[in-house]
Amino acid sequence: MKFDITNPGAFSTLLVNLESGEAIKAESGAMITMSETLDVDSKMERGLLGGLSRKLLTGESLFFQTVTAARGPGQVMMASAYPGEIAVLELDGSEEYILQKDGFLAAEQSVQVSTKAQNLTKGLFSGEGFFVMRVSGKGKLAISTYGGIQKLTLAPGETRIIDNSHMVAWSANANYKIEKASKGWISSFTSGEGLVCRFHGPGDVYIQTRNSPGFGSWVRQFIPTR
Amino acid sequence: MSLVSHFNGLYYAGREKFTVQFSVSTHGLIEFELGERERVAIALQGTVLELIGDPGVTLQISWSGHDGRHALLCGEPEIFDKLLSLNIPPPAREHISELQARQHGRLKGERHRVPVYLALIAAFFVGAYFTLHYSAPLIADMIPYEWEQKIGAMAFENYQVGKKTVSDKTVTDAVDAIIKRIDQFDGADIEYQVAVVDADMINAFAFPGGYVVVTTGLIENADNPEQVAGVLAHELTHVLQRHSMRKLVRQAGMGVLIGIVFGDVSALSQLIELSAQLDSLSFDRDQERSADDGAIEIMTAAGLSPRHLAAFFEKIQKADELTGNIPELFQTHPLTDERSKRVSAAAEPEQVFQFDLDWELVKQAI
Repeated sequence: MKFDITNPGAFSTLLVNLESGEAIKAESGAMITMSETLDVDSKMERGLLGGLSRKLLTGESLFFQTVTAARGPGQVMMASAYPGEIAVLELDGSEEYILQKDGFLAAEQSVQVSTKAQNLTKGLFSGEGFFVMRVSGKGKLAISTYGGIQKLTLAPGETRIIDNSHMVAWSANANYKIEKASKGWISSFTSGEGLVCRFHGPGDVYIQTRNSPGFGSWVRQFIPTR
Repeated sequence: MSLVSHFNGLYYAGREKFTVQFSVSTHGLIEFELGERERVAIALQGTVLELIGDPGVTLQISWSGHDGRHALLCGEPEIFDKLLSLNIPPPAREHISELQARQHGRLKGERHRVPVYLALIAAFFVGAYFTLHYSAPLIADMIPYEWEQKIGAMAFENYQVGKKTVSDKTVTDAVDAIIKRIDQFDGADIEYQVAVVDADMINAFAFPGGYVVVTTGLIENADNPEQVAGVLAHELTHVLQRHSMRKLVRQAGMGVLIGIVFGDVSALSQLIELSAQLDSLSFDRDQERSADDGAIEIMTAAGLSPRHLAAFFEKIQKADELTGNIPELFQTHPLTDERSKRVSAAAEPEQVFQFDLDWELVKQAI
């Protein structure tokens, strides 16, 4: 199986080449085009409850799409609904990743996706909500971001401050804490940053170079109020 | 007890990451191969052990080298049994047992977290629903009247976008005369603004702040101005009693809560978006009843018989049965037999007032 990123940039797409008999799971509605040797199917990953909790909690769709190379090898092209880059992570089973809601694009069948509950502070203030996705297993995982994607690798003991709602995927080993951006509460909010996340290494953190709530409020000022 | 001797781990040398298989010797030496040639051996004594990650179940064995921090991460619970089997000093042993207990507890807690959260959230929403239900009137009453007026003005403007308003003086003057009569007897100091919208549907509604919309459908279907006055008196009572503000607070409150839980910050702008739907907000039964009571009160005071309102209800209901569809007015204000009965049972005014309008002429002007 091969994962390639085509059309790199703001409107990047994921091209997956499947050998005969191979299958991948993808966010529902992600398929753009595929060979006629492939079958697309919907499947509730982890049963009804798993699917429901993913739908209700992480905002991902109830069904995952399964694309199977049933009648010979073929390729499928996929993209997420919003503009942004795609990154492919190679999971070797040694590390689990946490994904922000709607960060998942596609993965090999050997990759497991489940719902993870964050603690209260993170749920309220991280900008990711109470529920995120936990990805484990071995295989390729494609994540999509809003804006560009940037990988930050943290050494043991290294800490890094990331604005909330800019995180896309991070290794479960790299824990983070919510804190105010500046020393004082007032300057935290007047600086326009408010709350930030302090990540502790070691681990990888994938961040997006833009965030959708920020874009939303920027666009809002141009919408005529009538 | 046979102990596993090889563990899978992640080795970090600064920012460089390697997947390794390591062993722990009985003398407390951690060993693993790095690539083809290099072999790393580190004594447990010189390392720091801690649990890291979310939910803090990964064991990190870290040490400082001449080239910075190194760390070996292992998520396998069996590693603790192996470490405890070594001949190590009591303080270190204690620390390891403590880490093992903590990891065990967290692994167990993690398994139950999603269902527990779900139950908590369900309980929270049920609680929030009832709290909002009962506190909405109080919150709505705290909102300054100017805000209410602004929200109403915005909704009123929004509503008129893309709709044709009637500017024929015969029609607007007639509606103004009706509103003026009600205004004199509603016991409140609100300046009403009216728009007659060209639409076949039978509808009338009032936005917060006294912005009133009447459809041509309502005028065409009313037998006399008193019937229109009845409908408007009902609508204006909704405004006077701030029903739509309460509804708005309730819905927006719920939206904000949902947004917080599911990480959607845009929910905070819901109040504004919701105000655009003010014309389609339906009221609950209690609010309808008290709006009917208010309408009866205003009508009686203004010398208009509540029977006109009852007659209009009846007329519309009959038309319903013929066409099978419910007019918009009653989609948002469910009409029940109980309501019709209450209105028709209301006392007649002592002095009857009649509008000085040629209603047929008004209808023709549309």
